[in-house]
Formats: sequence, C-alpha cells, structure tokens
Amino acid sequence: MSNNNASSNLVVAQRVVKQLRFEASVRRIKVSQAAVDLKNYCLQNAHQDHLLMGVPSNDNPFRPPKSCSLF
Amino acid sequence: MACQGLASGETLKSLKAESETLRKKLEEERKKLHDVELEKVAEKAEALGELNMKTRRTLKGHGNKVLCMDWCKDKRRIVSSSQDGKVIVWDAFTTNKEHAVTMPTTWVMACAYAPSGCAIACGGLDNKCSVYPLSLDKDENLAAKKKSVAMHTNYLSGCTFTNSDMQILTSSGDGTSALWDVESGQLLQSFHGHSADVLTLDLAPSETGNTFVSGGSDKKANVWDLRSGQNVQSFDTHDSDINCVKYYPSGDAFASASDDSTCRLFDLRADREVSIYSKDSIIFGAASVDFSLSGRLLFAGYNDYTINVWDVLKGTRVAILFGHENRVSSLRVSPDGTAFCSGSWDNTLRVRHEREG
Repeated sequence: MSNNNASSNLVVAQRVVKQLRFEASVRRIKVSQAAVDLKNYCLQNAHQDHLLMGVPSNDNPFRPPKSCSLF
Repeated sequence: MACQGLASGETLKSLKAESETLRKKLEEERKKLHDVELEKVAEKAEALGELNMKTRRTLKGHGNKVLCMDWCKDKRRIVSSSQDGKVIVWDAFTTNKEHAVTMPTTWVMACAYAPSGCAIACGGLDNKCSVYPLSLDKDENLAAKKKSVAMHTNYLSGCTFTNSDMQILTSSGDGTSALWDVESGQLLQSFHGHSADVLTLDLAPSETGNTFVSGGSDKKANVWDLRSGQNVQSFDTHDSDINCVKYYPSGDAFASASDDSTCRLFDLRADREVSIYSKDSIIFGAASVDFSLSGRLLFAGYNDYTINVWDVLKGTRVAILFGHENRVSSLRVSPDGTAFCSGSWDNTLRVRHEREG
C-alpha cells in the first residue's frame, strides 16, 4: 500500500520537474521589446478598427433600418 | 524499493528540491526581462477619444440565460446557446431566427460556428460536444442529423472548430482539453495539466501556428502545442478562476477574464503578465473578453451586468456600457471588427457598434 503511494508521488514529482525544466528552457524577450511590438501592432491597424474609429453611416450594416417604398 | 525510470540518485526529496530551484530560476529569469511597464511604453501613443457605442440590435427569443455565443465568418450570423437547452442561429442584421435546436440537456455552456458556416457545435452538462449541419431547408429537423463528436467525463465548458470543419477543440470540467476528428469522433490529442476544471479556451490566430490557450478553476492559463499535447507555457498570477481567455490579434499575447474581478494581458514572447485591467470600484467577476481588430480595445463583460472597455496599451478604462439586466456571460467581436455582440443571463443578446463622428 505505502509502496504504491510512494511510487505515484514520485511519478507526479518527476512530471513536475520535467515540465519545469521545459518551461525554464523557453526563450524569452525583454518586456520593453514585447511592449513596443504590441504598441506598433495597435497603431498600424488602428485605421481598420471600426470599433475604435466608428463606421460611416452608409457603410454600416447595423444602421437603424430605414423603410423602403416599392413602386 | 525499485521505481521505474528514476535517474540515479533521484528520490522524492531530490525531485522536490529540484522543482523548488527550477521555480525560483523561472521567477528570476522573468524578473530580469521585466525592464519596463507596458503603460510607460504606451505613454507616447495618442489617448483615445470618447467612445460612442450604441446598441443596434437586441436579439430576443431565448427563454432562459444566454451562456455562450459565436459569430459566423459571414459577419452577420450568430449562434447562441442557453440554460434551457436551446441553441439558436440568428441573422443579426434582420434579427430573424434562422434555425433553432433543442438539445437533450440543459446548461449548454459552449457553442461555436464552423468556419464554412454550414454547421454549429454545442454542448454542456451532457459532457459531449455535438455537431449539427445547418440545412438550407428551414423545415428540416436539425436534430436528426446531429453527430456526437467529443466525449468528456464532466461538463463541456468550451468548444471551437480549428481552421476547418474537420476538427474540434474542446475544454471540460474534467480538467482536460481535447482535439477531435469530427467525421469519425476520434480523439486526436488530449491536453493534461490543469489541476481543476478547464473553463475556457482560445485557438491562436492561424498565422501564428499551432497553439491554443486554456484557463481554469486552478487560476492558471496554459498554452499548448496542438500537435504534441505539450504544455509550453503557464501563467498563474490570477487570484481566482479564469473564465475566459482570448488571443491578441497578432497572436503574440492573450487576455484573460477572472472571478478576481480583473482582466490581464500576458505576453507570450516575454513569458509574463504585462498589464492588469482593474479598478477598486469593480468588485464583480469578469466573465468574458475580446479584443477589437487592432488590439487597442479590450471589451470585458462582468457579473455586475456591465461591459467595461479598456485601452489595452494604457491600462485605463475608456467606457462602461450598460443595458443588460443580468450578468454578461459571453462577448465576441465580429469577424471584420465592425461590431460586437454580448450575451447575458437576461436572456438577450445585444449587438453594438461605434458611431462615426
């Protein structure tokens, strides 16, 4: 009984160490670099962002429906 | 006592000591690279003007709480699912209901539109994810063509098609996420690592490769490699359940919404949290988040019935949106970024956009 507990604890501990070793090997960049890239992406794409800029009324598919007359 | 696979000299004690050392090393590495705050870098960026968001459509028809919603790639159709088991496909332009399915389960917590627009997937307390092909024939009984794809051992919390109608990624209360083949129902890959319910997942934008992020009740957000099943990165700065995760449009970061009433931004290349969106006055949990097309705005739905709109770069709130009469459970920006839709426990969905000028 206690052998089983011990070996499953070991398996868990081995898994944790393996995962941590993997995470420690991940290549990271400085926050300053990452932040500049995030900022540049936002600014470069701002003009296409209609939730930021607004949609001109005639282009807007969600504009309040107008009534049509059929002749 | 013989144990398999142990390197020489490895004991429980030495493994625990090594994991402590590794954790400390990880913390130090991340700290070293933390040379500036995102807000500082964003200081020079122009401040955002006042937003003028208006509700343009209110979709009424669900008889109970709306739990989840998703947009079709055609930017006009929406699928939503509810506590009473109903899944409805709407034309958001006209507010017409195009299809309705009654699931054989309540609490349909997850729903998704297929990339082709020809099918939807949904599931919840039935522990499954089912796919319904959408027929052009309005009279056809959708339930007859239903296909059970995913089987978990606890509730389905999230589902999304990958880049085609052929594969589905699911997250579950059983603590795992899984990738399935739709046609055969075969399990292609499973993802283990969360120590409690997985509540949410999001697939990386297709240009950035084969990864997805998941969030759980264990307060962790994990990034996974779809092919290998490997957990490649892990973030654990939240103080409570993570209800929603969404990738930043470039794929280099993701945002999270949590019961700890904050939303946070995690940069994947810096491997750390880089911003936190919170206010002392916001004390209710955040349930759902999504970015605007440029990534500048973060829309977040809360349990206090409001939607807060955050300036992602500066970390400030730029608008509060009212209107829902109960918790906002689900929120998504449309595929072309012109509008966003929110689903609520008040049984309705609202489509909003920004007016020009």
